[in-house]
Amino acid sequence: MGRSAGASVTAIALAAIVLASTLAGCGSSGSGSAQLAPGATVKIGYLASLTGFCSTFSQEYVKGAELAVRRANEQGGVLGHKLQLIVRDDKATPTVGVAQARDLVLSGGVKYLAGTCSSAVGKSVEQLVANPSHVIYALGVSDPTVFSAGPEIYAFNTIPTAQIEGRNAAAYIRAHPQWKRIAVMSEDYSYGYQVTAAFRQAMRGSGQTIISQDYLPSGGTDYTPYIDKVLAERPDAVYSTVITEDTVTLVKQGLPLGLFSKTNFFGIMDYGTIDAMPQPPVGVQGYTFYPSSSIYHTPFARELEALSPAVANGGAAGDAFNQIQLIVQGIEKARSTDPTKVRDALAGATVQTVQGNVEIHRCNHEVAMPIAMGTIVGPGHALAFAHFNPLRLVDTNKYFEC
Amino acid sequence: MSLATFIGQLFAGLGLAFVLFFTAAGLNLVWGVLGVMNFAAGSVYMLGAYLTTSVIARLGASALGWTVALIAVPVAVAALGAVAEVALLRRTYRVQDENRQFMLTLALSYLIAGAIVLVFGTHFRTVSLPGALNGGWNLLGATLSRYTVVTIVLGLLVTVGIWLGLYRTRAGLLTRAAVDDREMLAVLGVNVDRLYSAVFAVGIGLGALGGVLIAPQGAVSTNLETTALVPAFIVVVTGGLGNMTGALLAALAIGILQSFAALHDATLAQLTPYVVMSVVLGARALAGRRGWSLTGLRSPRGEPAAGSTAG
Repeated sequence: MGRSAGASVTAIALAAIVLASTLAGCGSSGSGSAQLAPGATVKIGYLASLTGFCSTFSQEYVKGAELAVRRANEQGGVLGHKLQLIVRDDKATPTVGVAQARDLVLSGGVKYLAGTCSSAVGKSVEQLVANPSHVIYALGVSDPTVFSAGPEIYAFNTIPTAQIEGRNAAAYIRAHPQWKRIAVMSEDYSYGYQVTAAFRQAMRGSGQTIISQDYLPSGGTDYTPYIDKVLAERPDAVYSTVITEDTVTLVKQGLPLGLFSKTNFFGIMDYGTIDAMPQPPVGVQGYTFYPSSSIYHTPFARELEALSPAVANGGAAGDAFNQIQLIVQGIEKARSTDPTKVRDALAGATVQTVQGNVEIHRCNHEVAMPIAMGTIVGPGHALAFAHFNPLRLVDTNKYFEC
Repeated sequence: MSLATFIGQLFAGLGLAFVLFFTAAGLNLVWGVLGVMNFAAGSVYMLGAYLTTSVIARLGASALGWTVALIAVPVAVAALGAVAEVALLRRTYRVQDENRQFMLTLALSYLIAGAIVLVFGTHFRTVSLPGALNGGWNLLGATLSRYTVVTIVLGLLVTVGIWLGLYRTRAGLLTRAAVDDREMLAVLGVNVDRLYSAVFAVGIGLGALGGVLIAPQGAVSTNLETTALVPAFIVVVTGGLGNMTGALLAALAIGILQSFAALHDATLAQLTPYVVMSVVLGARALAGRRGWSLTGLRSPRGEPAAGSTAG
């Protein structure tokens, strides 16, 4: 072989190597190498709403995420990679959330994101991570439109959306055909409107009438006029989507006015709110879509309870725990840290959560988390705080339209 | 509308009105006399609510606990207000720089809110009422929350107290005089600095009292700041800057109309404060008046207080 022939072979070999490298790159990520180097840390950016709307639960989210990361690292990490949690304040504001996410991804080398309590932030960040960054984003928000773009998205939802919640509430009300006149009390922001819309749609043809729907001001301090108004209409049942600390205000002001005794009340009652109430609405039918640990009594739950009852029951900690778990299990299932491979491995898979094993719907990446329902009882029924007894876990798979 | 519904909505509206009035009255007093628009009013209200949860946690939700909270919390917050006035605000009067006053009270509001998060955390807190105030009373078929009735009674007492303080005491006389002509008052030998500190403290104390009263009605959270400040400003602007009677009438109008508007539409009810304010301001503009001077702090001539710019 002559000298020129040798040079040609070398050039062809080099070109082949470059081409192979390029092709490998094309199939993975748009921002640098998709697969982490052996021993490198898996960085997870966590968007916590430390200030602004829903800041009251921010520390619970962070503690749940920290617990999940610590737990994974104690077990050796994932595929030999240790996890690192980087917490950022999204202020529950889309522009801030996107800026934080962009910084984490572009400057921090983050390929996994989780968190936010705000659907608006979630929607904005989802669009950022889908293109061009290709970053896995695990979050728990109610807005179904965040996940409506189809199976190509990189986001995964860890709580039932407003659509699922509304359909489940309608199923409960329809199961009581003797209740003819239904009043609805909702939060006056997108969550309340979306749940109510889904509820109304699912109630069609039931023969029951929705006599009123009132949107109460979020963070309001006086709901008395609205409660008086609803009771004056003499409904057979009231369905409430008034959530978080507003539930406390509704219950405190509704109890003396007879909201829970003059009519059949059914509504969202997170453990973090009912166990904080000096006087919980005992006997009322409640539900929660958050994984309040005391409901489930799993090993994860006991670890959450060890942090504090408030963290465990608030539900936010359990949700954050699930988000980190989802990322870890995705990497394990994909046998790769490449976000695109992780996405493909998670879609349609069954993952372990605080609530047990649940399916991730392939069509929209929503995790079919169960909804916990039951009659509220006071402290002393096996638990030291107000809770549901008997408790029923509703399989939400039947409400999906994939 | 049945009589029971009418009574229920009326009492709910009155309860709403008096809680609004406490914060607005504090804001108005400080504006009327000092010419300072206190942007920390929402934080003060929130501080009153948080301190109440602490007092009740220590003394229990008993009559004693609530009596102590009702007196000690506004007094303690008023004392803090006096310190802030002496140490910070006083420096801004001489330069008559409203921007500086605005920035200062805004900074104070952030400081108070930050301190609350540091001390109490971000999770909401709740307190219960004494047993006697739990539950409802029946009046002609309407169920009235006992606590709402107590709030209304307290509101009336405080309103009478403010009126007596302003019109039946020497301190009130001096306060009203300070609205009209601070310099003349100083020339007459009155210690205006001390008077200003006292007025600021009372204004802050009234705001804190609103926080005390709201604490057992719902969840005490960091969201309280914004939920209090905007409605209080609306009441003050609607009633006429510096006009205490106007503020009371505005709070009553907004509270009662909001309550009855809720019968038709909850969204409409939330718009009520803005609608009332727009109508009143529009009517004022049409009438060519600069504000109603019924029996408020302002002079009968309706001239703005010293250092103020709007009427």
